[in-house]
Amino acid sequence: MRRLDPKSVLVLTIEWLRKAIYPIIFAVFANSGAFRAGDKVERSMFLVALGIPVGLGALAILGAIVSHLVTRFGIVNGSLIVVKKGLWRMERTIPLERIQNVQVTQSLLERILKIATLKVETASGSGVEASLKSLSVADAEHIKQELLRTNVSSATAAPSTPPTIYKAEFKDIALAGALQNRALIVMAAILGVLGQGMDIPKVVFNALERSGIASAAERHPAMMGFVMFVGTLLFIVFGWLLSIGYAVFIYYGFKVVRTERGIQVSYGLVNTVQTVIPIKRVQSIQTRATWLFKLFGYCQLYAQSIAGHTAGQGQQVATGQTLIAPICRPHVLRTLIRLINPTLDVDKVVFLASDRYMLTRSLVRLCVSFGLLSIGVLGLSMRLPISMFLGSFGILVAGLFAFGIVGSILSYRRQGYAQTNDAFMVCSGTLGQNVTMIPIGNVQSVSLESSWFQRRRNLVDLHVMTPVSAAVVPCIPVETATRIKDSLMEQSCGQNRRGL
Amino acid sequence: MSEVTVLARETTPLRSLHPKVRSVWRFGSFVSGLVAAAALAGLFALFAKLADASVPLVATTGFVTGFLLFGVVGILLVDKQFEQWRYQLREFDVLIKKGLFWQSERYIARDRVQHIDINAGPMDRRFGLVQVVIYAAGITGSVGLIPGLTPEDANWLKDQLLSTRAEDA
Repeated sequence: MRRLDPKSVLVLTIEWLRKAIYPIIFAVFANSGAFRAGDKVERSMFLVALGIPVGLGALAILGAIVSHLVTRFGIVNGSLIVVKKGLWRMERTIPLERIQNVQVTQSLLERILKIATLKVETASGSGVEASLKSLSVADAEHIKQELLRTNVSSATAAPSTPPTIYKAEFKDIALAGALQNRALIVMAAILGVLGQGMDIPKVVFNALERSGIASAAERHPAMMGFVMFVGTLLFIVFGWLLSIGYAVFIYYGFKVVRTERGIQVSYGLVNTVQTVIPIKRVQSIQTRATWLFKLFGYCQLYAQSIAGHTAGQGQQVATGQTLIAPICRPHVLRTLIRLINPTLDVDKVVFLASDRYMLTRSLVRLCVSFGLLSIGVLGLSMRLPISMFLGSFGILVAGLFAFGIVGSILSYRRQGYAQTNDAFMVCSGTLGQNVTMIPIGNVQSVSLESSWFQRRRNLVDLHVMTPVSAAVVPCIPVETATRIKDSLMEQSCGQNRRGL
Repeated sequence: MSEVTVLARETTPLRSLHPKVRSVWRFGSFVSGLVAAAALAGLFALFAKLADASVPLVATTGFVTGFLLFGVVGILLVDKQFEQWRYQLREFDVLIKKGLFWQSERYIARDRVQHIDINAGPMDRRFGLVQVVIYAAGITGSVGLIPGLTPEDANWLKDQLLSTRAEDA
């Protein structure tokens, strides 16, 4: 086990000073006038204001020295071990083959001191798992090679499938834009921002006055209704056109190609994006359909993955959520899903429903939250006339409550789960529908969670975690959950294991 | 580089934590009770000042309420909490079972363990205990924490969990 270079104390201290320089400058400038004025109280305030950052600086130097004295690292028995034996003791063991990424970085100061920082990352999401500061450049390179030696992966075999798997036509992209209609939200946001600086209804009214429409509408109320109808229609059409333009701008030339390294997704009119997803790194796939997509029989396909390597020539490697198809019909969807998971036949999957207690639970939660809200609002507005509560406020609350009940029923009806030989699937949604498919070999951990009420009914919530997502199946019988858990855990080990 | 040791994959029955962990938890509840009591006393004092009421009396009420709610209740629940805490090393996974009102059973696949921390705070060390933190790949950081283990048990658990990947290698 080795210690870090003593220069780490200097690096840590200077790093702190760099961060603290702004508070020190602020303290000096804010109080220097008072200091010159000679007021005794203000002088002491100035010294206190200056003393705090200086004191913190002294503490930082002390912390850097202690950190240097208590930290040890080394490669023992196939693992990188970092030990800190301070007031809080920590021993971190990182198996070498679980290391995803090793970085050697050098700041300007480190270049002057001829040292480097070695950062080690695994796939767990808490950032850098080990950061070894102040190694000599040669040492850092040597350790990096040592760490990566066990992690060399062979290239996958040449693909037998045709290179281009999916290509979005112009009309597909335009349709995706029309069905998403994001521009209405953008326009609402613009109006909201403009509304901060000007009285929009007044501006619109003045414009109508000037154009003579307002006076005409006063004479003919029916015409006013017609103008409002046409205006709303134009607003929606304009929003749709903007949305289509936006979709074309972003997704123009959307293409999915099978390459040696995995799936390559490329798109973009002005800013082109090219993403490579190694197939073995795909942790789960998700289809999403908003209510409009569902109405027209379309959906979107996403792949969730974790980055494993950095590709060259300006290619990005996907981490997290990657769009595989902005809009697709079921037959295209089947082709794309088979590419990622060849044995999964989506058509034969039968989804099972959660227990009815799920609906009861969400309705009870809805009643409790609305009850509390109503009591709170009534309590705060005792002085307001009762007619107001029976009128507009009552209608608003009743409307929201009815919406909540319908939403709860729809969510319950859309909720389902299914297990096939090699995938676990969960579907959910309220107006739209999302389906998540997790290849069984990707499951990291499974949780069975239950409240007191659920235990009385022998029910649990099943949480299935992959490296990038968590699927929840609420309110299923304990026996079913235990059977699913056992099968997921067993198949997650050994030959079915994928990716990480 | 040193050779990778391959250990036989062992399992354990459902185990409870070391009984001394209750003292660590009681001390933790006592400290959180004091912090909550001080915060509540300050808040109550502020309200008393605004309402022109007796500040010392109201602040003391706040302190006692805070300590009772967050300290004493926590201390009283330690034994019940300890009874619910269990862990088990199984053939394919590690089971961590806990929870008093909301119970949870978490199963972490042995092959999925990315790395392991063995941590010990000042109170843990006072009672000769450590905590094992298990990390799997993912965006949520650690997936499992087992407190109240002796250093020998923790090291054995670490070796067992990491030996799984040794078999893969």
